Amino acid sequence: MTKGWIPQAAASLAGVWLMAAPAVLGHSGTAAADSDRLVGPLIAAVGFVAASEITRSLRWLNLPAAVWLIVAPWVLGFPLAAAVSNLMAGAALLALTPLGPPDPTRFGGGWSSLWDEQRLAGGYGVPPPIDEDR
Amino acid sequence: MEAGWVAGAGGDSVRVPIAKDPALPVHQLTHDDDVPPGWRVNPAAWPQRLPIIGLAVIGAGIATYLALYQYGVVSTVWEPFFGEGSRRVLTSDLSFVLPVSDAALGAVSYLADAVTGAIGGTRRWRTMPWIVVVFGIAVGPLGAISILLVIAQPLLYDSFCTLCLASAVISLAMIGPAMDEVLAALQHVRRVQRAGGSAWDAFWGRESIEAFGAGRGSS
Repeated sequence: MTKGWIPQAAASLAGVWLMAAPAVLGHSGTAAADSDRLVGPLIAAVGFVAASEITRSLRWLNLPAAVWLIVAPWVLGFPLAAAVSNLMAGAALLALTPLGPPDPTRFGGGWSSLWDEQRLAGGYGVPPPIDEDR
Repeated sequence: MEAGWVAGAGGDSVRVPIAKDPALPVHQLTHDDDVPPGWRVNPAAWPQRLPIIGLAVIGAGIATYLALYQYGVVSTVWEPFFGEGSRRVLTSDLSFVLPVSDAALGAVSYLADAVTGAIGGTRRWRTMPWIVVVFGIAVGPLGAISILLVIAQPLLYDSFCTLCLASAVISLAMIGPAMDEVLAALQHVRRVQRAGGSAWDAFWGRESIEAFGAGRGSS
């Protein structure tokens, strides 16, 4: 088994932290709280689903969320603690999101085989790359 | 395993039956033919599907309990962390925006997941791709709606609901394990199409054998 799920699970935890942050850091009722509670569940859900290798590509949805986390404190004027929380979570997401790319040789060519016949395994045509593990 | 590959670029000129092809006559199929070409495990095998079905049953149980509270059959709701959170969320206007409460809809959706997850044997990714696709459609949107409800809880009502969050986690946990089977089914349809068969017939499980036979059934 590969360990590719760990970075995405960690990204998911960053989202869970954002969901709890308004209560923990005490900025409920601010724009920062609304932002945290909007992008937090999205990040948590994307990371959680992307932890499965078959849906790993969904991890890229967390990149725009990371950009938002880094931009929003300046645009909306967050309280200091909320701003630091957002910036750290955003930086963590930027680092974690690209990690653990899926191995398409495990899944008969992966999703791209549905529109790229050359990648489609089996039947007639070009075989996918040799699977070293087997 | 590699015995099945026909080498050569393009592939359109090479039309020979190959050893591990699901197109071969049924009597030549072995247990290994359950595994889709290019896969390491069969995503339709019971060890892969039973956990999803189990999650769906648990989800249905939670959602049924929450629906019973919403309709007053149960007078209190279990809430260990967020105080009045569950009560506020479950009795909110949003929960009743449809003719049926959101938890009742969730319970029905979970049951649909469990049923479509259970129908068919371990070769259903090629014998009945349609049920696999229906299964994927049942699992995917349920997860998406769960996320929307989780987002709405604190934004609109400033509170969370423990069992609602648990339900959301369950519905998300089903997505990844369900999608591998969907991919295998769609790949099968494309494979039949590439071999000259009808994608429509393959989708309904009518051309799983014929379209692959060398020359046969390539209409």
